[in-house]
Amino acid sequence: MKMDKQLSFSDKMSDIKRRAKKNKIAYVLIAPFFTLFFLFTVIPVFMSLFYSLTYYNMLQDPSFVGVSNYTRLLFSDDTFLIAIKNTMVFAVITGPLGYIMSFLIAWFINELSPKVRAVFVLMFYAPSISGNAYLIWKLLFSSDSTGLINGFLMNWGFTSTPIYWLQNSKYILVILILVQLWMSLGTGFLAFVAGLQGVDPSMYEAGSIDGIRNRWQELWYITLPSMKPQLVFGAVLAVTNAFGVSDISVHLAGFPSVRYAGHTIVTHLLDYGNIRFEMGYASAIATVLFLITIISNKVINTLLKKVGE
Amino acid sequence: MFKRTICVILSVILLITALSVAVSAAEDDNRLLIKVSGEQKDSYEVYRSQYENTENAKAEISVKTDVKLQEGNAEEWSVNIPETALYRIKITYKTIDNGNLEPRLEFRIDGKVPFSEASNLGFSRLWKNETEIKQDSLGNDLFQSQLQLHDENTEYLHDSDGYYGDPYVFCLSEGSHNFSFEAMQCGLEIKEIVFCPIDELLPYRKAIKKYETDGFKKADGEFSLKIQAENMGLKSSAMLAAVADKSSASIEPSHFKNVKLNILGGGRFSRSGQWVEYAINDIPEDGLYRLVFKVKQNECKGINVARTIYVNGEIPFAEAKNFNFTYSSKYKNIVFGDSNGAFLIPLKKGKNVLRLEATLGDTADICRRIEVSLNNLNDAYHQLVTVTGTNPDIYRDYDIQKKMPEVVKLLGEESKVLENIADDIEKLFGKSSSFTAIIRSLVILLERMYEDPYDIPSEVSALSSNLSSLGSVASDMKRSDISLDYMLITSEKTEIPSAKSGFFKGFAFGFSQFMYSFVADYNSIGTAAGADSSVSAWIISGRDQTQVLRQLIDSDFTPESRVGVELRLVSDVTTLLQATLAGVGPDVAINIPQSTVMNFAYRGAVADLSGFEGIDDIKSRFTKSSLDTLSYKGALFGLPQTSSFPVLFYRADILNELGIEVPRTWDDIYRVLPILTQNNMSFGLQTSDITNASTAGVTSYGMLLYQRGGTFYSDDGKTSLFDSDIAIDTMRDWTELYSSYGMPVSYNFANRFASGEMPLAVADYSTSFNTLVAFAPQIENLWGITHVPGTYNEKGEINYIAPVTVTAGIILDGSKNKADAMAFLNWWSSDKTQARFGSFLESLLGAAGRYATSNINVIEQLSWSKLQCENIKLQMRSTVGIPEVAGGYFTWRYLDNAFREIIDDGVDVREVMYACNKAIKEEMAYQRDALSLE
Repeated sequence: MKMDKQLSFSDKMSDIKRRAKKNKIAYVLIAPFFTLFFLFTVIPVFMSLFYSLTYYNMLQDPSFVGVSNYTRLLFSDDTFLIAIKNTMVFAVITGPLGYIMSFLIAWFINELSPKVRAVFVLMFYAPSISGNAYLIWKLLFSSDSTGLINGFLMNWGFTSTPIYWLQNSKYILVILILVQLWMSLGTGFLAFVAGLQGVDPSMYEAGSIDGIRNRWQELWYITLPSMKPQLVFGAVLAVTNAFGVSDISVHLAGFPSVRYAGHTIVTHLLDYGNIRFEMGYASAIATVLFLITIISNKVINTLLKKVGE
Repeated sequence: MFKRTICVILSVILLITALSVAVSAAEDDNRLLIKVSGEQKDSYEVYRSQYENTENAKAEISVKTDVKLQEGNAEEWSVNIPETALYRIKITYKTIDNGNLEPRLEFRIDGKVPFSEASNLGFSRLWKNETEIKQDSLGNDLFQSQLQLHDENTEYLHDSDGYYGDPYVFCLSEGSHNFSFEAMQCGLEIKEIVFCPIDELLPYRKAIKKYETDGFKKADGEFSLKIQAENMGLKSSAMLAAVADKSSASIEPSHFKNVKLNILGGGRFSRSGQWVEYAINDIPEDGLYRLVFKVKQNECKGINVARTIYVNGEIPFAEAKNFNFTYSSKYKNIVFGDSNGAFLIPLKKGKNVLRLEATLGDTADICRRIEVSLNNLNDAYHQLVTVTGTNPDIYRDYDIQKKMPEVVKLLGEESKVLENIADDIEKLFGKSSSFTAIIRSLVILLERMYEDPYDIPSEVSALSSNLSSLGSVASDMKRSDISLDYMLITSEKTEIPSAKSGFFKGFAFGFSQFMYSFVADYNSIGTAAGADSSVSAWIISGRDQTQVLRQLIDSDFTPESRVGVELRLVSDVTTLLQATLAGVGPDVAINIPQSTVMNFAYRGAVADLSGFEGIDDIKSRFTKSSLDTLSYKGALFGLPQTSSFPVLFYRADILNELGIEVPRTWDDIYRVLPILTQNNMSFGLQTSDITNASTAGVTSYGMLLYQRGGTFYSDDGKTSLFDSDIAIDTMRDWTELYSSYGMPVSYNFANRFASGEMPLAVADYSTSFNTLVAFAPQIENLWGITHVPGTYNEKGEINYIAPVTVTAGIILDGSKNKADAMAFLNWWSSDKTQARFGSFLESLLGAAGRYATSNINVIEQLSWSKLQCENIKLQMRSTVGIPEVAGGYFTWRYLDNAFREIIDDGVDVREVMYACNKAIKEEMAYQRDALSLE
């Protein structure tokens, strides 16, 4: 028995060696990416895991505190609960809605002639490539009585005093969701546009011979299954984006926002990292966010497997 | 029957509506109305036209005076005038105080100001470059510091705004008169007053003959002399310093890598009345020479920019007055002359002085007319707004035609006036421009308002924005900006060299500039040679500020202390944190916000300064409040550098029209608020807003709280006191100002203050002052600052305390050279350095660069007027430093949350404050525990 195991192990080792030799070029080719990935992604993740078990204020040496950051975060941090709630509302609304919107618009645009299509693609994609384009929403939702929306409402007599859009906890989250949806036609959308063009037209012919009756069946049984890679890619991006929302909250609603109304997990993390000098705690938040993202990606991949079945 | 009932009901409804309208109209009539002023009756224009036919005086009368006038003092002289005639008056004077403000006098004849402009006569100061142009260790030219001279200077009584190009003319009747001068702004020593006849300038053709008979021959042969614009002599303003233009290889001198100060201009030589002198040495013989300017006039499109040329103190002929430079985007050689050829100027053998004076030239008259029109329309706008508000209900009939027919008439008149102005501009400069386009669109708007007064309410906001455009037209047309590279004095036959650099030279220059940008380290601001030891200093500031500091270090600090300073410009505190974390931080960091200082201090990253020798002397430079913000338990972690605290900004003109005195207490404010509201105006008190600093709310609340004797934290700094009765009452009163008194929560201070919608506002003294100076020149002299509204204490005294926030200079704990670092901080915060830094900065950036030093002795050495200076010092002395406790970031966060909860949802104040206090308290306890603070 023992002998067997030994044999199989050395067999395995020599097998690996043999294969490594054979695929030498592949390893060389992947080396630059792997080095960078390891240095700038893998190591930081593990460092963050380590720091999450310490008290670390960035100016003094970290001291080991065990899991107390996690217990404090999960059991006694009320603000974190607000952040989780906001992030979930955000993710549940903007993730799927943005995803579906991206796909539908890409699908509609696909019917257009190439030149017109290019123009529309640029139009829809523009908000997400132009960096901080969302700042124009600040002008629209300015709390000043001369802000665009306030000015309009007051001129038409809907209200007599300005509404403090981005300082009133009632409106903040709704506005942020609106802006995020406006921005959601990003890289995922481009992937869909490309994916739709990559579907082999002969499949549709074959499908109509096999008894496809309408466009919806065509979509479900042919188009979607043929562009599964793009769907997965888009979904992963949508989920990561939805969980990683912080910029628009910081820039539109302030940091921290009034009564934490626009607080998300990432702004909570920034709060501890940048303002409170508590890197250990911030790392614990990052770890939790990391887990949440991984789990939701798994769930979504499982759901996407059902496409076309 | 049914019809009749409906009829009755309808008529009853009609009757009620009519009645209520009548009642509201009657209410409206009780408003305070602002008078429309119209054109001033006592302006110089009117005065001058009365004496068209009076004779010119025949002889000069001079009066030796030798009197020192301090600001606010007046002096009178009795002079016998031999005959009724027209005179110009010039005075020989010396400035007696430092600073950049223009000395201003009021002139009276027999106790009466002859015309309104004579109550505000400006005189120039004398400046020169303190040193030659020097280079830093990297070879870049350093800005030249400017030195003020208190030498004698002679100037006519003239309009320092430049609206009247010629000096004022006074008609004096025969007999003895009492003439008096009063110093309105800054002091002046008057040596001599001269009453002289008006001397008419000869036209060029006649003047040249006269010079020729006087022995000046046209220079012949080859002769050319180049005068670089950066080599200035005397000048009227510290702003007139050489600057660098890197745009082209043709500018002399230029270098692809290093900064070279090579031109005069770039926006600095742009105010009418500014003048600069150049020495012309080495003229071979008396003669008439040609003058060539290498200039660029790329700021004023559509109009000409004028300069008056003086040769040896005199304007040589009529054409030398208001010589025009037309628009061009590139440097060009422009020969002083007209289409018939060059105007030759008479120069003596040897040394001569050439003076260029900025004037408004052809635009003077137009600018003045626009200004008058703008004033009238602004008055009309204010008056309209008292009835309609800035956001009128367009469906309501405000009955403007009936209530203020004179305003409607004025709108019609001004539309004609402005149309004439636009026509005149086009006639003068031969084409329409953005200026005329703005004026014409206002004309159309005014005509529409005049013809259909019922539409006026819907046009009120359009009027407001059009008026601010007209305001910017007025101030843009007044800017007479040129950039001067050099001047040439040549004989008429000499060929003028090209102003261009040639394609290959230009290409090589641009290409090397581009390549160099990859290797240049723009953040390192040089290091000084000739030192025994050195410290590294990081500054979070602008590039100009850093350059100035570099220069002061090189000229003052290093030679004295033998300590060199490596100066580096960093963008924000995050950089400092990361560098400290990595162990590569500097010895000294300056301009660090107080919260960062204390955050670093609680974590042991900043050195305690209280142990250094002589620290008590250094401390005496600052107010206790500003030191409090940087102290913890007797340790001092930094020296304050800039302080910001709120003061009250007021629009004197509007308060005057409303008959309100500047409020001194909160009781006064409560009295004033209804009057402001009735006139659709508001009072501004900052709240936190994402566009404001996040701590603005804490400043406002803290001001109210500390005035009532409350505090934020307990004395030991261990816990917060927001559950105390004082804190809760203050919160209630503060929020009521917004919820019950309708004060705006969110507003743009500069906009509303300039437009007059917000004639009173509590705002940060330095940033708001600088913004207003730069942003709203049209309300210059119409506003003032004073201490914040106060609260009476038990003794009946007014307590107008307000919180101060500082930025500081710190020594990092990791520094190996703390003694030298401290010597540097000591030098930097000293009276002399701070004053020099402040005035240097102001000569570089203008009044908008006024420096908010923490050193209380320095305030009066900056260019504040006497009154402003007193008010600022008064407020600065009654500031309080809110301690930066561990976990203090929760304070502004939760105070703001509490404020919003009360304003938005009307939640019970006490309940909110208890919750707020609990959160702050817990965070403070947690942070104290984590940092193991006792």
